[in-house]
Amino acid sequence: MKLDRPITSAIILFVILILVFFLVVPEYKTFKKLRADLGEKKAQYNAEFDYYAEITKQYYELRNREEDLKKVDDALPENPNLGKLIYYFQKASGESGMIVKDLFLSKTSVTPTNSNVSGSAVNDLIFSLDVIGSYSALDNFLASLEKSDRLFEVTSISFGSMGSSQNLSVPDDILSQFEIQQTYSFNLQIKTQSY
Amino acid sequence: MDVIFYFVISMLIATVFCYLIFLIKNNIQQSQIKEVTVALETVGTSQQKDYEKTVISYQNKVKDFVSIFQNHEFASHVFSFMQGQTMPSIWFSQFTLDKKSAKVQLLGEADNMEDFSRQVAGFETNEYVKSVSALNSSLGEAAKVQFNINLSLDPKLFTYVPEVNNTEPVAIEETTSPSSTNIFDSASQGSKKLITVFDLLLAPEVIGVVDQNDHTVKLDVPYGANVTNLTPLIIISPKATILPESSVAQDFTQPVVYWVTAKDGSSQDYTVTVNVLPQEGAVKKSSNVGMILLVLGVIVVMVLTVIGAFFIFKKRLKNKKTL
Repeated sequence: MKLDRPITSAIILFVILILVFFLVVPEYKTFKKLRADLGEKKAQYNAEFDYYAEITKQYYELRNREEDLKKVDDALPENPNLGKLIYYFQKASGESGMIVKDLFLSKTSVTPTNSNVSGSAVNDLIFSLDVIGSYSALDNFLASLEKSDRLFEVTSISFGSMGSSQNLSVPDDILSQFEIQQTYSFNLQIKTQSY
Repeated sequence: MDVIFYFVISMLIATVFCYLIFLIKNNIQQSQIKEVTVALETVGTSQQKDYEKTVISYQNKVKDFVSIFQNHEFASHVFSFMQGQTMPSIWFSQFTLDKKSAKVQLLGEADNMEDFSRQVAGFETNEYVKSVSALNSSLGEAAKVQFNINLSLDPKLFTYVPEVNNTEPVAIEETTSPSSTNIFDSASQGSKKLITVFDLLLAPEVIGVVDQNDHTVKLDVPYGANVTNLTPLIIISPKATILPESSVAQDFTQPVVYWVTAKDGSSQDYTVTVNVLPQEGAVKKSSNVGMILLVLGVIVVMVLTVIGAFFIFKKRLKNKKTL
């Protein structure tokens, strides 16, 4: 049987069009999509690989700065450590020449900071201290607080003297009130932070 | 007619061939995606994940610490200030400091009105006293002047150290640590002249890579960004100055040199280079064009092969007939 070539050519052309539209083009689109997906996955893999390499590097750099990190840990501990704080206030005030009359935790609140460690926010702990001592003792106590490894901030100070300048036998115009050893009653509000 | 017929046949073969090529390629890519997905799940060992937790935890902790420390204020500075400002003939019977409002309430007595007026004038002229209010005084026992003063202080006083003898206040270095030893290097602050951050205020913001060894800053801006007029945001070492200044638009078609001068007068130049990234679509477009050209090439070669084979076959048939 001899083929009618013009008709066969037309049929074949029609078949080609059908094949192109229903097989080749969809397959080509899939090919493009898969290529993009593969590129994305490879980029993701490389990024994660680089990320963990950088993390490892950073970790070892941190280990080399353990001393500095200890200072940050001391300044901003994971727990309030109230027992240690009370002991510190007693010890520091005693060493500065003051007597703690009253000490209580007056307030706790959350500090607005840039970030949170393990999802926990930084808390402000405010202590109220009633202490007795001289002005120079207070000066020493404040210096001790400011030099402490833990961050302390005195938010309020008030004091009143028991007597007046008349009751003191000091040479006037030579010593100011701040240089005379007189006992005052101080009230301090001290703020510190922890997670 | 034969030529057309064979051309159409070759087209059909080429189409099927193309379909097969894509089919095979797709299978290969799918298996590659699977491999990469499996590899992605295994990247980062449990040890590395522990390292990650530690590093992120410390990163956040240091950020919190810096944030708290930068806002840390020193109430004891007020006492140094009062010590320097109070005349010996003035006696304070009550002192109340509220650091939040930076207000001091003073109750006391002075030997005489002249000393009291001098004391008030001293407070009024002091740069750290913003205002003196609720002023009242009365003559009390033994001809002493009893007074009540409210001082509104400049909050800078809590972050600056005033010297006791009314001299110029000395700024506390940013790096002053609460512990006896600094975790930062405060001694070299005066000589520091670093660019720590160099960003371009585009949408999204472009963060520069600062190389402190080569003193260069490199930035990649997206295709289409106008590099002739880009505004950088620059952060430098405390107390250092920079030229050209931060937030001043520059032409980055060529590398731009920035000069950072430290407090002690020493300076350091940084070369800032901006690179324009190629158009993302252009890369894809070119790869698509390549694929189309490849397919067309395959089709053309196949068509030519079929046509060539047809003519050779026809010639041989003719020769046979002649013989």
